Amino acid sequence: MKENTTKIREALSAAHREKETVRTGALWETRVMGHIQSLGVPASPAATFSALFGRFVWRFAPVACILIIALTIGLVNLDYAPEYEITATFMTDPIESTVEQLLEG
Amino acid sequence: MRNTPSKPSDREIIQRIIDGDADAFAQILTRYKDHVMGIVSRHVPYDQGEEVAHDAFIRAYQSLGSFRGEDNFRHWLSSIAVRTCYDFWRERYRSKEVPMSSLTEQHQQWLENVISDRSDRAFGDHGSRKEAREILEWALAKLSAEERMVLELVYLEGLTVREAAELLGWTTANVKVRSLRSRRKLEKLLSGPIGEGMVQ
Repeated sequence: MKENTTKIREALSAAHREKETVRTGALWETRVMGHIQSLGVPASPAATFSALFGRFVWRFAPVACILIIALTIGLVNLDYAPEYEITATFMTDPIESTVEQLLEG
Repeated sequence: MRNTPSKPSDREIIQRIIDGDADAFAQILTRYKDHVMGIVSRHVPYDQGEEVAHDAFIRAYQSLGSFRGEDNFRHWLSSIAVRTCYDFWRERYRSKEVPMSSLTEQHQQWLENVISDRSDRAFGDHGSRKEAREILEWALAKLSAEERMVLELVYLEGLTVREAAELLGWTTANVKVRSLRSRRKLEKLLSGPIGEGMVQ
C-alpha cells in the first residue's frame, strides 16, 4: 500500500513539475508597467499608517507599563478606600447629626 | 579599454523606485518575470497565469516599502507570488468556479499502470502525462484552497514544512497539520478509483 502511494506520488509530482510555463511577451510587460505607472510611487515604510501605529505603540508600551505599575503601587500605599471617603464626606456634612442619628437609631 | 556599466543590484533599483522612479520597476520585471511565471504556472491554470503574475508584480510593487534590504529579494518575491496564487484559489473556491470533473476509465487505467509497474523506470515512461495532470486537477479540485497550496508545495514540490510556511506566511504547525490532512485526503480520493479499477 505504501509502495503504491509512493509510486503515485512520484508520478503526480512529475506531472506537477512538468506543467507548461506560461510565456509572456512584450505586450504583457507593457500592460504591467502601465498599471505600475498608474499607481504612483509605492508608500515608504515610514509613511504607512500601520507602520506608524506599530512604531508608536511599541515606543510607548514600556512607558505605559511603568506608569501602570507606578499607579498601582501608589494606590496600594495610599490605602485608598472609596467607601470610607464617601462616608467621611457625609460625616463632615451639615446633616452630620441626622446621619449619625439614623445610624444609631 | 571601455568600462561596461555593472548591473544595478536589486536593492539599488528598489531604492530608486521608492525615491519616485516607477519606471525602474521595468528592470525588476525583466529580471524576475520568468521566475514568477515559473511559480505561477505550477499553481494556477495555464490560461490564468498571465493575470495572476500581473497581480503578483503589482502586489510586489505596492509592498516594496515593506521590503527590508537585508532580505533576499528573490525569496521575498517568490513569497508574494505564492500568496497571490493562494488568493486566486481562495477567490475561485469562494465563487465556486473550480471545475469538478470526473475520472474516466483511462484515468483509472493510468493509475493501475503506475501501481503495477514493477520496474525502476522513470515515471516519464508512462507516456500519458495528460492523464496524470487531469487526475491531479481532479483531486486538487476536491480540496480546500489551503490544502491545495500546501499539498502542491510540500507533497508535490518537496519543500520542507518550514520553507512552505515561509512562502505562505503561515506557522509551521499550521502547514504541518494541513499537509498531513491534505495528503490523507488525496490518498483517500485516489484509493477510490484504484479500488474500483482493480475490481473490474
